[in-house]
Amino acid sequence: MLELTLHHYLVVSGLLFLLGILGIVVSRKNLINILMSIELLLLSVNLNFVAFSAHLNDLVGQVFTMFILTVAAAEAAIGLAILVIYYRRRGSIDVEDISMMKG
Amino acid sequence: MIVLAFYLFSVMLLFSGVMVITVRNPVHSVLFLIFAFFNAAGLFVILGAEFLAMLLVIVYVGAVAVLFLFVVMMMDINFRNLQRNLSASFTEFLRTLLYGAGFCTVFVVIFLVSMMGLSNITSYFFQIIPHDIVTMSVTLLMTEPGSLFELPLWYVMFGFLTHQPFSLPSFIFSFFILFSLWFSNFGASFLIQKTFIEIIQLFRKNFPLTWLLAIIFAVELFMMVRLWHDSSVTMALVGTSQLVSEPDMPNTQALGQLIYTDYLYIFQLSGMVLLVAMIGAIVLTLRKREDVKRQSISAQVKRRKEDTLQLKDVPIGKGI
Repeated sequence: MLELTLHHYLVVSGLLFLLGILGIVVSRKNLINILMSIELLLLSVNLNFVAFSAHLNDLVGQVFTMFILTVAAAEAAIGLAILVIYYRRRGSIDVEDISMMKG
Repeated sequence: MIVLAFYLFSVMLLFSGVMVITVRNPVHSVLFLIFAFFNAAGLFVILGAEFLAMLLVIVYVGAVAVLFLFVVMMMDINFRNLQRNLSASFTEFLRTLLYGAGFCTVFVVIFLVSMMGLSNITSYFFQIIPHDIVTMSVTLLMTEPGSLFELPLWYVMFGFLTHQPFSLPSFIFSFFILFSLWFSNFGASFLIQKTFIEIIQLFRKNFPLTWLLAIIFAVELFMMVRLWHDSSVTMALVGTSQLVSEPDMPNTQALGQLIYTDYLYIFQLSGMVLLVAMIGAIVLTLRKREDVKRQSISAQVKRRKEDTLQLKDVPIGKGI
């Protein structure tokens, strides 16, 4: 009765994914919130990978989790760099203003 | 112990996820993101993926989240503007609610359809909500008295999901509980005519949330260390037959053997991705300032004698 199954992890990561999507949709003021929500999404995906890796006894899931972590770190760095130069040019990081960027 | 740890970690993970997207102050939001990463690392430890847990703590908490923190603190954001007043944001709130409901529906449908593909469709719809919570709890307590502390966590978080493998009503029920909790926060803030952040500030003033989080954090650390030393916990999910690699091999070693043999090219490729990201971030944020005199080594090296020096025969007595 007191056993962990795959479904527990799937439900947790599903809820976390949902929170990330909600964060992207809800945050209309701050671009940093969107970036953090993307981090939450990637975290939930990683949780899914590791749970399936433990369930199927296959370490390849963990290998791919490592690659996802790498790509997420790169994405965060580039996103924050874009954020910094955007803030330098315009002086704000409102989400509404970003649609004014052209080209 | 391990189930309790799982529920503690996952509850705190979801809680900090909610706080990340609701808290108005970006610094607090980043701190909750760090807490979320820590809890995910705890879940990884439960699953036996210790190396990834370490990676998450070191790389994510140590580098990426701190990078976020630096950027947030570097920008001079006016937090007063971020704390919107209630009346102006009513339509925005309604729109957000609609969006959220729509996304929830789509997501739940996708999730359920994908789950049904895994198993028999009919079994989901004919499972009912577990007959009797009371008898179930009593039998649980009779068989395992130590689970007394785990019961509230179960009922608060996932309802009855632990006893059923997966059923449609219990899933909907857990969603209902979570979102009613979330919306009730907003509802309370509407009733008292205060914004959500003010509610949070009031709450924090009355009850030290920080200390609560600190205590939970300490408990989680203790649990993590306990689980780590428990060598029987390698792959904790039920239904595992045997490991692909040898059971005694540590997770880090097994992962290393896989990475450096079969996935070597992808590993190198991820290194290249990081290199490109580093160069890209530097190129993007580097700026040339005109008002500062700098040494330009390439210009110095490129300078030739004939560019700057002219030899002329000057006639005597005439000058140039």
